[in-house]
Amino acid sequence: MSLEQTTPYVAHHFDDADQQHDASSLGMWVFLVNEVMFFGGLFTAYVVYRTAYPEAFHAGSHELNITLGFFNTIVLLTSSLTMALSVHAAQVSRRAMLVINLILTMFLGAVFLGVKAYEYTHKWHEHLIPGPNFVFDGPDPVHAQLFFSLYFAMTGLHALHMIVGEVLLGILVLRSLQGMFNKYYYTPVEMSGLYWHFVDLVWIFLFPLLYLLGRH
Amino acid sequence: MSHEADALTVKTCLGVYAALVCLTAITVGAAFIDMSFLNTPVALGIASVKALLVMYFFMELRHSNRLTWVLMGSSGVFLLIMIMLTMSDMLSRGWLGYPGK
Repeated sequence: MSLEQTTPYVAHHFDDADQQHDASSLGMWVFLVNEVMFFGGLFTAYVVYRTAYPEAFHAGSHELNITLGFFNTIVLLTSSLTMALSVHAAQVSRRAMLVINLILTMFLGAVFLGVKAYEYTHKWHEHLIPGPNFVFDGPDPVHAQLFFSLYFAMTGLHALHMIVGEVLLGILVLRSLQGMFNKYYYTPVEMSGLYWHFVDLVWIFLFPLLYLLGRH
Repeated sequence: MSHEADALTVKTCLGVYAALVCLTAITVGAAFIDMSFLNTPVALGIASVKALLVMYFFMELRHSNRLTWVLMGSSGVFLLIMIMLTMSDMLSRGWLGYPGK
């Protein structure tokens, strides 16, 4: 990288583009570690209550639609692929490929959220929302509410992260169209990519823990 | 950047994606087989492999510096501390035969 090409993108408090990039990357990872602990509290609650009430969790998991869960997992993995391809497109200064991949990622994220909304609506009609109207004919209905509380809290927090990701992607599409990213400067694309992949990581663990538990 | 290096990166992305989809199919298949207490460890093992693939390739850990690796590892360590300390309390309750345990 020559100095003249990168200088317009380097803020005055950094020595060079590499230092600026490393600082952004490290900061993003610190944020993601913080996010791991944020979700970690819910995962810990899951471990505690699943250990305490295994039958209720087993039965509760049976109410979830495994086909939709599998479909959404594939959708999210595909969106991670298109996100990785977006970063790659930015690295080689291909603006059209960058915009197309970002829009594809946004679209796949929207499909995921749409399926999630459909699942939530279905749970509402089935009276599976914890509270006074909760109806469950499996064993241990009282503690099955714990499973559904955790299901809604964990997938809800995950969906909230997806919505934030969609906003980030929207901003990236606009900035890409303005030609703000090229091989000398694509840090925002890369950092939003890290965030998007992290959200995918959370789902990689949520899917087996919520949907696949007790299928055998 | 040369065209060759460019094509290789897209190829790597597609390869990782194919592996992730295969592992998802395997984890769904494995969930229907009764392995008694092993079902959850197997599911979590496959999920961990998928997570490592995403982090190593998609999140560019392979090109990241050591400090990033340490940070990423620390999240796992702190998560384990949280879960293990909580569970050591939960599982050992009632071991001592007096109220307030």
